[in-house]
Amino acid sequence: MHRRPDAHMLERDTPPGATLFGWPAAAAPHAGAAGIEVLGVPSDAGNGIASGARFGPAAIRRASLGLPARDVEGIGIDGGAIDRIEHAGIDHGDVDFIHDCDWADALLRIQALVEGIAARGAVPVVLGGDHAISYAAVAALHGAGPLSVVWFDAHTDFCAWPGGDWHSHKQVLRRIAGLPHVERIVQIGHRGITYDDESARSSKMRVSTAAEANAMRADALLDRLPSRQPVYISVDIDAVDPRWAPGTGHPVPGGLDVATLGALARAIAAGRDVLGVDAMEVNPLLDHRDMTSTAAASILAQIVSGLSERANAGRPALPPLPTA
Amino acid sequence: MSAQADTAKTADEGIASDVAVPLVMSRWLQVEQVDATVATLYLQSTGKRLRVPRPLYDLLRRFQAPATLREVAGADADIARMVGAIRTLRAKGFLLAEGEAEAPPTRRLLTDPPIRLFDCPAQTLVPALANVVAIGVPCDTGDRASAGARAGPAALREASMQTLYGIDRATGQSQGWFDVDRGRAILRGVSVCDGGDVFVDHGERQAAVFDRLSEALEILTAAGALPVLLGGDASICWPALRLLQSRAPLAVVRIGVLGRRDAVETAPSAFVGAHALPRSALGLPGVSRYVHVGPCAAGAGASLAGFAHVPVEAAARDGAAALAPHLLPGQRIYLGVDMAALATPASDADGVALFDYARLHALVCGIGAAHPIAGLDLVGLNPSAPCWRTTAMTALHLLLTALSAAKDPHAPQA
Repeated sequence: MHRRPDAHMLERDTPPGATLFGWPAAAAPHAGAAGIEVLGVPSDAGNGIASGARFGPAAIRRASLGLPARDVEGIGIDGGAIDRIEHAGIDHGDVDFIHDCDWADALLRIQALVEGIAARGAVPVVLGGDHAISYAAVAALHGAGPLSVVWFDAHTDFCAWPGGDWHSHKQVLRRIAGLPHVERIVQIGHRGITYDDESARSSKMRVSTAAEANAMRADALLDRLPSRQPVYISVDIDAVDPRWAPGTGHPVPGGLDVATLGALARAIAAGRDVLGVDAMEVNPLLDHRDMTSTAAASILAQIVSGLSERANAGRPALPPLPTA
Repeated sequence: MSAQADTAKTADEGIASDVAVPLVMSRWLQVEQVDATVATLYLQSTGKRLRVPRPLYDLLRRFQAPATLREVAGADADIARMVGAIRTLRAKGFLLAEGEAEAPPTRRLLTDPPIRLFDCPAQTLVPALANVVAIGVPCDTGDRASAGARAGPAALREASMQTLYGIDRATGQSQGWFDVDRGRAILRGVSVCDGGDVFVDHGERQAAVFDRLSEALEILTAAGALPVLLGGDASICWPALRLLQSRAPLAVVRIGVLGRRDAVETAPSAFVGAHALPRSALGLPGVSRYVHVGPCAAGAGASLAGFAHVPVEAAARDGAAALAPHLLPGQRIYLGVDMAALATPASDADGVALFDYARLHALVCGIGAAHPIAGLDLVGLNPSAPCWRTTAMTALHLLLTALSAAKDPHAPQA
């Protein structure tokens, strides 16, 4: 049974048309059901250094509306995929409770909303916001385990967790690794100068550096993901080199380019059953000429294109297109 | 005359002189704090602080213009009770006799930054026992293109709070960091300290700033610490070059942008601009080679013996091997890195090739593997530029990479 998140929990002032890829607003009468449901989480409560990621969801949506049909920053979305993107999803807008409750409570409410999307058989696409949000989205998929998590990120996000209900984007992957339904984590894009060697923080996790990822073939990445195991894709935009995505709180030099990350993410979406997606850490306050939000939108376009490709190949990733 | 009467006479004569001499408040006196009972005074010329009762402070304020104690205290005042305090103020320089010569403020070489690089220990102005000493040089008038870089040292220190220096509790040694891209620990056991910023009184002659920097450098590096200058513009390396070449022969390797051919060719002068560095450096007796790596105006430096230019394309392709034809094997070098050579999100290079981080990282590692590094600078740090946060983090990575190249033994090339 299809049930949408409670309307009162969502932002009501999202500008008309400012939905991801121009998809129908979920509350619109003609929206119907869709294979992808977008949820924005305008929060930077889990970022200890820089605020501003709270404006990320809106910036990604705006940027998605400006993507050209093909060859955006070398990404090369074909026309057919764009057609499918235009009808694949609905957008619930942003949750409106972030600044009215504690962060831990907000994450529980986000988790409940994502559980609702998953229960409808749709793929949740969560727009952040800081990366701590991903814990709620992955936790919401507890019924789908064992689950693989692909984590595009400059950092391993495995800092110490002091316990309790404290959530930060620096330890979010440590907490996700502790979820019983998460069986494996493929971390891609680690790099730079850190305090310690973070490549072996969990037996569940396999870390690929940005240098390795830039030379990685998509099939080599797919080999790390069992073909019958569902996947969650999380994209921290700082996986991209800050020259191309400067608007993020913790930039690290030497990252992936947008096209490479997009191609890898698309391959996963097309080759595995992806149950959830997020794009995090876009901070428009630190951005330059919308480069970062455009990069995030481009990568999401690649992922959605991959989801569509898989659906069109007969896999049950996407339900029938909604009627306008 | 009895001894008691003699003492009283002497005291009266002393009081008389204190009462009769016109006194005036020091021009270097500053008030740090005043409340109902006490005041804290600071004498800028000597650095002395004095805490005085509020009534004495009120009395002192009446000496803003020359006046005798009798004049300011009034005819009915008990002068004898005030004389002791007045003498103390005079002895410490807070009060002077009218016309008395007053020492100018103590010459300051360095100022204390509010935040230290990587939160490493602060270094006072004595020979540093650490392996590396950082000094900020907030000066950007040597290069038109470096506007805003005077704020670079402070901004870089603030950004470095995400990359903290740590000491291993068990060994007492520096924990260093981990270079993911090379898959190795770096700077483990290498101690770092922050000497602060060289004092700059904007508007004074460059030579005055550079003399202070030279003096501070000489003191701080006397025990062998590697000097690391945080700019500022590229010209700030000049005092370091002067000092280091006087200790042993040196070659200069600067990664940066050399855009003005005319300045390169300019005759040496007291003012050393960033673009005149090649000629100025090669004019030093201990400097035999100057290798500029990065964009360079066509023909710049062609007439300078010892000058060589390595374009970005060659350095990116061949790494440190591209420098080999221009340097002696194992030659001691000074390495400067100007962030202007880095491609950033806001770079407007107009078709000029710039470095990406990975190439610069590899190049610096390679240089360190081939040559001992006697001094370092990181310049062109402009927090007013777009995407500063990104540039700062890249700069910190390059700084740690350069330190590793200088101090880690047998660092393999990236």
